[in-house]
Amino acid sequence: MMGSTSMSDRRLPKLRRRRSRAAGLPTVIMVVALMMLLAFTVVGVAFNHLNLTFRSSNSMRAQELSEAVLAIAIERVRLDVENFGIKGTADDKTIRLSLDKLPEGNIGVLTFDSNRAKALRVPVSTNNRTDSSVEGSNPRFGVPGQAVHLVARAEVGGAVSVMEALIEFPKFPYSIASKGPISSSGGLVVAAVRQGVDYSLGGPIDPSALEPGSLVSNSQGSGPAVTLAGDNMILGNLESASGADLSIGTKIFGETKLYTDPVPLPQLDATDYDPLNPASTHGAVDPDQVQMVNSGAGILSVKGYNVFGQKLSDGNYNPSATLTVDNGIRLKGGVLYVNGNLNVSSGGVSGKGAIIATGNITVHGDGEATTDNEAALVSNGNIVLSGASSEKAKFAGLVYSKGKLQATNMRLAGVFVAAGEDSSVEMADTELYQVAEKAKVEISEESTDFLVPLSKLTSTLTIPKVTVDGVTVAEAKTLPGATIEYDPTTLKQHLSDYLNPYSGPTEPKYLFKFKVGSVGYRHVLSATGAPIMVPTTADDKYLVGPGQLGTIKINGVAVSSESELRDALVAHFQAANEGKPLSASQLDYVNSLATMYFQGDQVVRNYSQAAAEESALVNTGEGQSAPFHWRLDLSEFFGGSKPMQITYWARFQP
Amino acid sequence: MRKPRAFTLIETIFSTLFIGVTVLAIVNLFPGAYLSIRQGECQTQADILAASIIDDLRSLRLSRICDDLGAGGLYTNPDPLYQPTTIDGVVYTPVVTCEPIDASLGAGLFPAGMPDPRDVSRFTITVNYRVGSSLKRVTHETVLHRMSFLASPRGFAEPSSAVTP
Repeated sequence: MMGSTSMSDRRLPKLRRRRSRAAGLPTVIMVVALMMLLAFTVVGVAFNHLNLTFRSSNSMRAQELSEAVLAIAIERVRLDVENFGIKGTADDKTIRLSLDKLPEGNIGVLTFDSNRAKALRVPVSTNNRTDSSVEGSNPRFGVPGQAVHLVARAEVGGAVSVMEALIEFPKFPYSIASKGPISSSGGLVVAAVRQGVDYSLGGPIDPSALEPGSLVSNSQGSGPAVTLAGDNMILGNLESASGADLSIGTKIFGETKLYTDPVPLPQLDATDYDPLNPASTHGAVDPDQVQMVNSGAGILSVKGYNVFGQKLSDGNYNPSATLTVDNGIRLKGGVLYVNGNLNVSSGGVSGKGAIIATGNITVHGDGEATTDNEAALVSNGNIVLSGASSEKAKFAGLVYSKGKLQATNMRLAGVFVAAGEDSSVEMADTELYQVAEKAKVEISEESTDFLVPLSKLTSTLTIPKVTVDGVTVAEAKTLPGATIEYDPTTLKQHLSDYLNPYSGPTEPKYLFKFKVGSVGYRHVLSATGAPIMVPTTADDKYLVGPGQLGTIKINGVAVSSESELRDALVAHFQAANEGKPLSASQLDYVNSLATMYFQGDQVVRNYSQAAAEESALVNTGEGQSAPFHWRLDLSEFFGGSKPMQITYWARFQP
Repeated sequence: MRKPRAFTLIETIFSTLFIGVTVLAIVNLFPGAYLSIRQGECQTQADILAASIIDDLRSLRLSRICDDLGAGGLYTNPDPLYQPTTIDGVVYTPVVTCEPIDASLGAGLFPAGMPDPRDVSRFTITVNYRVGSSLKRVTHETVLHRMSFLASPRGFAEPSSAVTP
């Protein structure tokens, strides 16, 4: 209807008239809550920051405490390396340290006892007194021979730190050490060869085979102890008891430590090694074992004891006498003792042995310096080593001088010491590679060593070609050999029973008889010195049989009778022939092999021939007629304290 | 016609009080938090300084340190590291003392007798500093061996030897 209003129209003005209310208490509370949240967040951040600060501080302290434990352990090792960590109770093998200025409850521990290590939750430390490396508590690396692996754990305020260190006892800790000044006019390289790495001195050693090698001078004279001009490279440390004058071209990859305390150097005296002087402290021998040598052209081979000297009317040796060798010295497990000076005009020195001179040693040219050279040059005077500028000469071994040590155009691997009161070292274009093992020269040869490599034989069997109606169905093949081993120990122990009763230039020193069929044979020397077989009476004490050949083994398994050996041979060849049984003729052959090997005829034949060859060498001066033992270990001359070196120090990370 | 409703006086007073107290409390938290953070920073700085001194001591010859000790084992060194330093307005003053190892550390440590201080010694490094009006200090303590000086450069290569069967 017109003019009438509905119910909704009457309400609308009321709705239009309603105003929105202003924010009330709930809103205020919400705002306040948000502000409180912000405030607590700020407080929380501040609290966390403080926590982190304490944690960081405790972490630093924990590391310092673990390093303190290592320091204590190092001192214990230094004082008694042979026993610390090895002998005693678990308590004796454990170090516990608590420092009173650190937060309460701080503790640092180190132990060599594995049960105690588990209880203390610390990796076990290891004192390795053997010469080969052993497993330590860090699976990433073993503990080298004659080294101590220390692991210390410390806890301060809940923060834990575990540190480890490796202490080694190198035979000699330096590449080159001198009591006097060291100088180089350029071209000097000082480094060390990594243990176990093969190297060649034919050229500069590859950097990947090198590790730091250090140079040290104890000189405290007026000038600098170390003067390096030109371009030089020291891969390790340079230590000087006074100053150092280093050119711009000198690179030192380690630390330069000046005004250090003088380091202990070994003290040797050449006269202590005189084999003919009964008063010498290192091995006077029966004069019959000593061969006198004289100057001459050609190569001088040194095996056994060799002495040079010119006796004066008063019975003493002329100290100015000089042994001149024109074409080099080859040390073949021998020692050359020179009363006076030695001059090797060319050809150098190589091999295994020692040259000891009361005067000067001068060596020109190079020998066949290889990794297994063990040569020692020890002089109470000066040592001069020189090569050519076109090609450096090589020497590997120990060089010890009580005078001046001079090296020019040389590539040297070993240990180099100038330890006399007036010593000095001068080098030019010389590479020095420390090989700590060369600080020890040990020669140990038995006169019967020739027996050992002959005691292993290989027995083969050839399967002939198989044809059917003229057609080859299987080619001939030789089956892999069985290894037959004998033990010459018994023979060596009763060697005197086999001394040859016959004398003469064709007779070997030892007489071993053997049989071929029913005929006995032995070896003698021909006119040219070569061994030849000659028939002889057998069935006497010189016939070597199974009783003297020790336990016989086939492929490592011992057999005690001929039938056992035969059965083992058959089994071996059948297995090698894909399990196929041997034919009758093959079995007969194996039977004869078993007889021959069990009787030992073949191996005795080899012994006999080798004995003759060894005698031929003795006759020419190259063989060894008597056992020879000689050693020089530089590490024994350090007096009370063994040289120690920290070679690793880091956070423990398995 | 209904009049629009406004806040009552009581609501207004209560809300104002509530907000006021809350804001006051919150405002009071901030200086404390700031002080706490600042304290943490200064302590960290002092810790780093002490650790740096220990590292430096490790590189010095222990025998020379022993020669230079003053009364009470106080070690002084003209190097700036050992002198008072100002960082961010805070003065850090390090004090270094060196003492021999004695039985107080534990009689069982050295059964054969206490070692020569020139071989191994105990060091305490205290760094004093002031935050606001309060005097703070951090103390670090360790033991150093003379071989630390002779050791190869820090940053060792890992040993190369493996166990050989």
